[in-house]
Amino acid sequence: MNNQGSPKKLLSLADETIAYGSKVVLDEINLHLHDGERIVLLGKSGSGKSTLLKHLYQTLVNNDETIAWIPQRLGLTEKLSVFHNVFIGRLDQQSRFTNLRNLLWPAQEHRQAIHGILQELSLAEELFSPVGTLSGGQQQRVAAARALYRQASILLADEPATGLDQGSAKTLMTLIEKNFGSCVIALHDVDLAMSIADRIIGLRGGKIILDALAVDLSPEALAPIYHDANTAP
Amino acid sequence: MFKFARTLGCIAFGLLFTRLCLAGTFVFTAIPDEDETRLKARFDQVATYLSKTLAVDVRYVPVKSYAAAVAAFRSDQVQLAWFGGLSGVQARRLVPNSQAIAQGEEDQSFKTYFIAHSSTGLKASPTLPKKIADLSFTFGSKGSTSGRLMPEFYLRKQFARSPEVLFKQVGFSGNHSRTLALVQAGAYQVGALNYKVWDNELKAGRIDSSKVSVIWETPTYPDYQWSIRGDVDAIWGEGFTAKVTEALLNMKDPALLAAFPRSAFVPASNSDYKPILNTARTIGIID
Amino acid sequence: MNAKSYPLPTSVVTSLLFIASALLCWIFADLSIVTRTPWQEFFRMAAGVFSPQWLPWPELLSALAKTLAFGLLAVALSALVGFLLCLYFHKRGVKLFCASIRAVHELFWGLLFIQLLGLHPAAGLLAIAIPYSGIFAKVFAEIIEESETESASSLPPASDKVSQFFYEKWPRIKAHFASYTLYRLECGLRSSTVLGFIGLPTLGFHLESGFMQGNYGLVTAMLIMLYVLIASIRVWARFRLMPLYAGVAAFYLWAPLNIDSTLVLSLVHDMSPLPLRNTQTEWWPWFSNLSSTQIFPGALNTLLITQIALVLTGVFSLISFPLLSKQFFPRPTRSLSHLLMVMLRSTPEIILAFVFLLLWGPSMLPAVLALAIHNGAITSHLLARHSNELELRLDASRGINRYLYEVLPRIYGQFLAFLCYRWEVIMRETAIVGILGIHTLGFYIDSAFESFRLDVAVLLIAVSALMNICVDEVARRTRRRLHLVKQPLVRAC
Repeated sequence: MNNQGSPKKLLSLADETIAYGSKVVLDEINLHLHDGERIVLLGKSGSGKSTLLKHLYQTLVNNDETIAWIPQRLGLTEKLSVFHNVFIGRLDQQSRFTNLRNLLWPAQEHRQAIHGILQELSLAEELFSPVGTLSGGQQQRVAAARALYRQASILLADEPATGLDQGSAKTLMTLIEKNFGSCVIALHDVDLAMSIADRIIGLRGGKIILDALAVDLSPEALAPIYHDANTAP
Repeated sequence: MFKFARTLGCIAFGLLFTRLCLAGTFVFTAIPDEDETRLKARFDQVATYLSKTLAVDVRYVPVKSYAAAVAAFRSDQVQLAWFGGLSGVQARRLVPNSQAIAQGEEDQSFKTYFIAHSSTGLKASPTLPKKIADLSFTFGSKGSTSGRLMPEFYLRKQFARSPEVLFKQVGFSGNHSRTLALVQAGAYQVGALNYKVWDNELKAGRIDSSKVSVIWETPTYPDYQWSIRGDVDAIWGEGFTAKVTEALLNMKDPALLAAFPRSAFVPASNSDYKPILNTARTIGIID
Repeated sequence: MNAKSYPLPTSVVTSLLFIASALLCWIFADLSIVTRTPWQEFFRMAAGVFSPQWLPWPELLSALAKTLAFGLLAVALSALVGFLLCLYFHKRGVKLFCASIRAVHELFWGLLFIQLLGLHPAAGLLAIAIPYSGIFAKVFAEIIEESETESASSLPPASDKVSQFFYEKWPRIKAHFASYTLYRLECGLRSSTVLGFIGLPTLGFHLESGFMQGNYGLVTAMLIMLYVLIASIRVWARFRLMPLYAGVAAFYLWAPLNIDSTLVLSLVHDMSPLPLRNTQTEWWPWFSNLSSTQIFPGALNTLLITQIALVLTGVFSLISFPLLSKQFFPRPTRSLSHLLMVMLRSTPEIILAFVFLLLWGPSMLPAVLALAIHNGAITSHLLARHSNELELRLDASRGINRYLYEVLPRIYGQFLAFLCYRWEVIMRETAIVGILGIHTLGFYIDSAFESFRLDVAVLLIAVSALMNICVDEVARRTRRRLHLVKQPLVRAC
């Protein structure tokens, strides 16, 4: 599964089941994550990707890992500027005073740092625009910028390429590859997934039905994730 | 739920019924100037006494302000009222032929105390000390004779200025007992109040003489009185006014008199209150 | 690198303008502090708090039942009248009428109707129902206005107005109407209590007696009853039960009313300006004398107190709402804070003002603090409700960072909207501070009633109505400037 000797194990799930009331969302999940892995979760909507990501997030945080997180509903503070939304990525790493001061009047050093990240995402022009005034694709990139600014080694992202054109999506994947040692990303675009993943996990009905290295997978192998076996094309 | 609703219905009907029976009731009120707690119980005793003596239904209704007492008198919701000097004058101006019929023994020569907080260094003196200028000052209720009218009259008389100009601040505490509490706490430096309230509080041990003391007392003036509407004879029969007057003057039971609190009632007439009317005109409370 | 400078958001600029106006008023306001010997009185208060003095059962129950009955019936009536008025709210005349009737504190309506009807229950009922109708009309009209922006009409264009209303508007706004009406109940119970101060036989009647005589045990007992009543609203108040409640209340309060036409005529006579009745009085001297002695000083003091109290209300609620919000504190802390806030917002301002007066002597300080705490506790409660509806990210920061970057920016617009609503309320409530020797318009209105100068009272009421209309207009423009028109429909009373 890896080719660098014995990398650190980040997390292990053994027979984990998550249910809301009587509705089982994740069914007997067995999963091990290692440092340095780039994992993509594939599955139809409702297959349990988001729930699994949230569960991974909680477990990793409980293990005292620093995580960058891009949720599906971006969780942006719409009334605040792009600058502030990105700045949020590092609130816990700075003093309260710094945070308060930058809320009222952004300091030059932070402006520069964030401006740099935004340039890579072609958002530099919008540094001080309120996020609520941006388009869906731009907001998606703000959420990504926040994750990048956090400077964590692990990224968990739920459909981070939604609303992005192919070029921007590729750029984003490159940035993710460059900035995070490990990542778990839920995607629905198979091509995009294959371009970044070194391991693919397929979910269906809350169960893991596929867990393999990307290089070993053919497009046909992914079919069961999206289609019923007997109606396969 | 049904039981609850039925009980409610019974209560409501009961109230309604009592109200209807009370249609021919002679009603009186009293301005809220003295100890209000348990006021209703005390005045209900007075109502019982009057009811027995006059042989008609008599009921007491409580009011909260001088203005409300006057308004109730004017709108014939009460036919008899225990007014202060000023509120009595105001009420009788609004209701034709109404008259003052009795006053308390003490009301023939009522007076106001000016009191001051110890931090002012003011001491009792035969005239109002000049040093009270520019201090903070509180009256009692706006419509009170002893807490507003007379003290304002004497302040203007001596300093030839309105209280607003004379003092740094002029408050209206609401009543005599609040005036005392506020001056004793030093919130206001000087205040003016009904001398009977001061005496009662002193007796009850609620005054700390190291903090507050009387610095001047006004000359005497007529104050509280019973006033009756002019049309009661037409409703309850010829001579009803005289009967009510007699009943009041003959009220000797200390338990009843404690409601006011007065030692006895003596006859009074509208002309007794001429000085009050003139004073009110002088300081512009009455046009 | 980038030449872009940081533009201050409109909401921040607006807040700074509010703060600047308060600071300007601060310069002219007397906020001095004098402390001498308040401890004896505080000791008596503390003793009272620890030994509440309960009234005998029948009296207590009757006061409680009447507080409920007046509040319920008045709110039900005014919701109905407000609903009818709101349908014509686009007419300028109706709008002005509503602004005028809600500009006057219910205490003054009470004083007016006591003059007219004596101590009849209708006096108390109208005193609450009239200003509340004006408030309901305004809020209902805004609810309708906001619902119209939601979507274009899907009904056939030729449908008649009545059908249009009930098929299209009503389903959309019903829930908002219901929730606002229930919310208003709390205000109604408070008003019904406060009217006890001028003679309504509610809890406030005994509360005032106790307070005026320094019987703090009685004050405590009455306040506890009021707190329980207010805190229990959510248990028994249901929109569908309102007609039933109102019916029972009406039955309970009903009393025959005889209006004496000669009395009404003489009151109308008294209300007409003195120069009209008395040929010896000239118009101009009469008016200019009133202007220089009452109208101008009154209006100025009212404005000073309002602006400072408004900003302090904002500060108080911003600091205190996290205590009530699930974004910040666990349930036990929140329940405790909730209780505290019920106490702060239900205690009549005059009692708060009195406590501060004892502490710091007479100045505007006790007044602005009393107003700020009372109104701040209300806004705080509403802000917390609003913040509870926010969904934050899994990785949202905690503590002060969450407050600054996640919650505050999201609710700040609503916060300013609440303050805009509180603005006219605070202005109306400045009437209560006569005890502090501060001569607001309300103080002069009260004096006019006390000396039976109904013409002056009516004139001063008209002036406060005018000020209220101005403040309302500025508040409306502010909200529009901040694009707050389409904010979620939670409002203050």
